[in-house]
Amino acid sequence: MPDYDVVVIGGGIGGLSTAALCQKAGMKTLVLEQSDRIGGCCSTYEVNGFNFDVGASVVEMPGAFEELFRRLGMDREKYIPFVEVDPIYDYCDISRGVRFSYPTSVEGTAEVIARFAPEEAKAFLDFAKKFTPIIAGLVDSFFYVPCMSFLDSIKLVIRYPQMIKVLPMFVTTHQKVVAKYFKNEDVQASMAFQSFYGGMPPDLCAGLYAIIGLLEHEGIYYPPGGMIRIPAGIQQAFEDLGGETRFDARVVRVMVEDRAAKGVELWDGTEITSRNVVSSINAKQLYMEMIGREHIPWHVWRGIRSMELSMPCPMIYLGVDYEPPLVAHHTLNLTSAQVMNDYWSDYYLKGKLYEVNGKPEIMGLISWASKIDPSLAPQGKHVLTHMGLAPYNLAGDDWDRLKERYIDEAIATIERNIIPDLSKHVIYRDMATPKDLERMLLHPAGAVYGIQTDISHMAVFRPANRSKAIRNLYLAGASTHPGGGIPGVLAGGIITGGLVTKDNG
Amino acid sequence: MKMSLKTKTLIAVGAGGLAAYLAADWRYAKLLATNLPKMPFRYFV
Repeated sequence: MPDYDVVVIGGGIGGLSTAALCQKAGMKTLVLEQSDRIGGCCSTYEVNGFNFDVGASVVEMPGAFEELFRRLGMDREKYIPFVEVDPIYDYCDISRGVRFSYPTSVEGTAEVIARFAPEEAKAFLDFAKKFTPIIAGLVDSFFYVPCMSFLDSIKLVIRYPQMIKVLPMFVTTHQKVVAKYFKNEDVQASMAFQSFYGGMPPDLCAGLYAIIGLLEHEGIYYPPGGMIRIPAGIQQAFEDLGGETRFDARVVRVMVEDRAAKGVELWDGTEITSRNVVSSINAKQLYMEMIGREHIPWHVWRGIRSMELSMPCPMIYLGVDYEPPLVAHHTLNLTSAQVMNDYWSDYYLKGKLYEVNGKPEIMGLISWASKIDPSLAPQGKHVLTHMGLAPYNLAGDDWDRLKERYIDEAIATIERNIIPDLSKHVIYRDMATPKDLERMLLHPAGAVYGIQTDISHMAVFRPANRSKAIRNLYLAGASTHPGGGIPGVLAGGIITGGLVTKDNG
Repeated sequence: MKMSLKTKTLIAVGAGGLAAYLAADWRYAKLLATNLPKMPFRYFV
């Protein structure tokens, strides 16, 4: 008799949410986490009294959490309290004297836009009017249901006929959707950068991602105590249901017999048998390293090999000795959509850092978590994190060598564009390079969004939540449908948890 | 409903419909041209 009904590889949000749903259905479930800390990319670490979020910095689409806890029959607020973040973004370029913040309110945002681009305020309201009614149906029909086959796609359209109106957004680009509604470069920039939440520049990312700029106006949230409260809350719910979590338990192999998963082998040789295996790690890593060529048909192997990994996100962690002159949880150096696109093709894909007039310009998103929760830093001090855009493979350089210089250049960029004199106030600095993320979180090439998110890797062309090659094997996490980011992996966990429980009666 | 590998392959190749729609943005076109031949294989993962 197998040791467990379900073994889950990886203690990130995708794995934990799947595990909680399986345990809720009465299946004896074990979560195996390779590190000593829960959450993967969505976690928090402490040093010298400063608490830094490892990667993810905010919760968008809180409805995904309500959906998970509704299915668990538990109170989300008891396990994961949220505080609303408002304004949602501050956009800044002090070199041009431009600065504006978007509040949660759609009408309030239109008023902000009207101050510097009056004709765009109506365009923003029109955009909201057109897409707000579609979003709810789209989320319910596309986000929480499997999309593994042609038949699944047909079912989606039958269940939600309005999907027909949305289909063109899957095959156009984020850039084109934004450009259709907005002409002002700064407004375009404020609606275009969200493509990087899918790991692609605006002119390569699927048009569907353009609605993120509107979704955010339904409210974004932060859990007091740091982002680790999210996986810790789901873990607590899972364990309250009787589930078991093991740390420092790195899986090296999925045991397969006759193309069916039978359990896993740990780094120390321990074998754990189970009726079902759920993997929330990178899908390429799962199939190519933990299962192997001998168990996979040639055409599936070819499909796996052809998949591109997502971009990494170098993370900088700064402790400062004052209250920084910022107004929002998230601050972004205002960069035009065209620059974002050129950066990708002329620098990122060539392994180079972006430069302006021969000087490195480190693009990124600044998060000020201690604005919401001052307890994340010692009294009078604050924490800032910088989520950057830079390639894993550097032309003629190496991340271990570049690390300190990259932090210097990022601080210099922030001083030029957002916070003058920042360097005088930094009393702690560190970073997780793409190589560090690979070493710490075992993300190959630091790929935080798993598999790339363009049209050729979406829906039926993304690794399926129920493996098509190996029986009793399921996938959760960023590599599978619907994709990366906190709402994506949570929705993927809900889908996969539903499939495992359905398949096991 | 069980489908044979041949049927599934025909469905996956039928990537072709998407290609026709898209043919009807040079960086995006380049991305698609690179990936379209791979999509029928990705359907099976």
